[in-house]
Amino acid sequence: MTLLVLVSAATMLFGVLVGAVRLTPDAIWTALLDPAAPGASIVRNLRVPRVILGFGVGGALAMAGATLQAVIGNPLAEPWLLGLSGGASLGAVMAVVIGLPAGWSVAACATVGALVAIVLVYRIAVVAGRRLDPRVLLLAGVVVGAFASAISAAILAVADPFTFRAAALWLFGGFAGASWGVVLRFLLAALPGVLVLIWLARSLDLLALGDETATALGADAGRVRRLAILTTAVLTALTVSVAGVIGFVGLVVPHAMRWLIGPLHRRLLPGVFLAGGSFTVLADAIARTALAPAELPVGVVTALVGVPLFAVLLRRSVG
Amino acid sequence: MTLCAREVTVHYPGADAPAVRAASLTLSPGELVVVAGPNGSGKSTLFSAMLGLQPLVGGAVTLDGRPVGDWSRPTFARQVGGLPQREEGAFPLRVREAVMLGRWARLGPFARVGSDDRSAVEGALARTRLLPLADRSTDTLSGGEWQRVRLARALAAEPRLLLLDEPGAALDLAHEMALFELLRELVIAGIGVLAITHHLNLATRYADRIVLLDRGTVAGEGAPAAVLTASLLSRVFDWPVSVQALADGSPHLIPLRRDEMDPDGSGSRPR
Repeated sequence: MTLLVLVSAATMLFGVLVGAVRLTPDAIWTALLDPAAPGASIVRNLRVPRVILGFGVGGALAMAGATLQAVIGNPLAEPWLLGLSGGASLGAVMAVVIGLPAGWSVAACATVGALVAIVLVYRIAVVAGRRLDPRVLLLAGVVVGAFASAISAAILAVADPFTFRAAALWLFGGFAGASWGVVLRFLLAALPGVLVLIWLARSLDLLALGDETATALGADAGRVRRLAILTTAVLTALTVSVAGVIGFVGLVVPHAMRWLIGPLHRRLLPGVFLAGGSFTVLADAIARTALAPAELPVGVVTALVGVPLFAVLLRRSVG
Repeated sequence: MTLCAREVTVHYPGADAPAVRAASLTLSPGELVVVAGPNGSGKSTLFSAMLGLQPLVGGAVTLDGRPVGDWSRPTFARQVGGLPQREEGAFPLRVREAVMLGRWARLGPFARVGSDDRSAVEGALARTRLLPLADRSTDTLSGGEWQRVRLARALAAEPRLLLLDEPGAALDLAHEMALFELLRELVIAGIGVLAITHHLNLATRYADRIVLLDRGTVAGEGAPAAVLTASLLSRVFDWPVSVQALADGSPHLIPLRRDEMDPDGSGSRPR
């Protein structure tokens, strides 16, 4: 865990170092200490908030993924694959189109979108089979996510250029909008969710054993699942409202961390938060620099890593 | 500390008949009760009803006179352990970690694992003879070893009552005998054990009481020798059965081959 904290600090530093404008470590150091130094504005008002936001968003997404995997009992579950991200982004797009001010109201609409999506996904999956089949659930998630994206795309097609620019962020994902205000708002809102999940950690250990066993061992399976899904929906919606749809962080990171520190959630969830943050900061650093001065959406980078892993996991879970 | 099912009826939505109909059953500390019956006679349904996992259409399940649904799940789990038949563990753990999960109901969300938690886990590992495997990963275990891990996990919670749904189903002769010996030890230590099994000949030699289920109702209950009569068993299992007394007086049942049956097909003793 100490190692993870060190790695996290190192990646955040690295995230501040790299960017379209080349700055030496020296220059960055002086910029951090002296607001009047050359490049200080870039470092202080662009890079540092961007890195912190990326870290928080990645950590929250990774925790959401780890939680969903436990409550659904399937290592393939993830906010994007379960349609949460798509629903949240549709909610955010709608908020912008009907002219709500950026900030809390967009986050609220995104949350509603994510919740509607997960309820729909559940309904579809439960109708398809009497017992909840995790694979049907994932399929329903992908379908609902695709449906939400299609509606978002349709709305944007008829939107005026200004709205389009503002709303496109939620479709492609990225941290270009990071500012101190956004960072503080996000961290403040996400903290309760993160704490709820850590409070649920031991119940998640039990839920991963299936409902009957979990209940026999003293977890109220239904209540824990509802609370966990509600919390992950809110966390996902918050990340979407500040950074758009970023897939696969919630898949790649928990998988790697379970292998490194084991599947018990009291250790796993904090570890996954740190690792998810680091992973996303790195992905964002790649997104900013790979084709500089053009910027890739960070979701492209996470998908490039995540999709091959998903394919491997899928094969293993079926075989 | 008594777990009591009174006139319990469970009807699955969409099913023609209730899975369990007006079934009554009690379990107290220090006794080994075996529940037996044909496939589909409602054994597993009654088991999950007694653990409060099943909505009831009629009747009630109470622990110390209080309905099971009124107990908080962690408090109930500290008194009554349950081992469902199936379990789909999503992530492999070390055996010792897996057994420690039995302590979560006692520890709550934040309490640190203490020395009494560790000694309960070590005790459960020792009782189930798992100490040599304690550091193995659960995905490398055989079916019998995994079953013992699940039993150890239930024991780590230090329940007063323990319910097991076909604990011996995947076990070979030696492992199943070891399992029943262990259940007997637990009973002597004062735990009340209820086990579902198809192995009536083992049940008769270990159980204090046998409950025979037939199409959702209790067809017979009492001491093994009183319940396991040829006529009742032949009727309930719909196959001619002969019952003989062993040297120690416990009944031993022999399902008959076709060529051993009486011409009228009711057959009660081998020729």
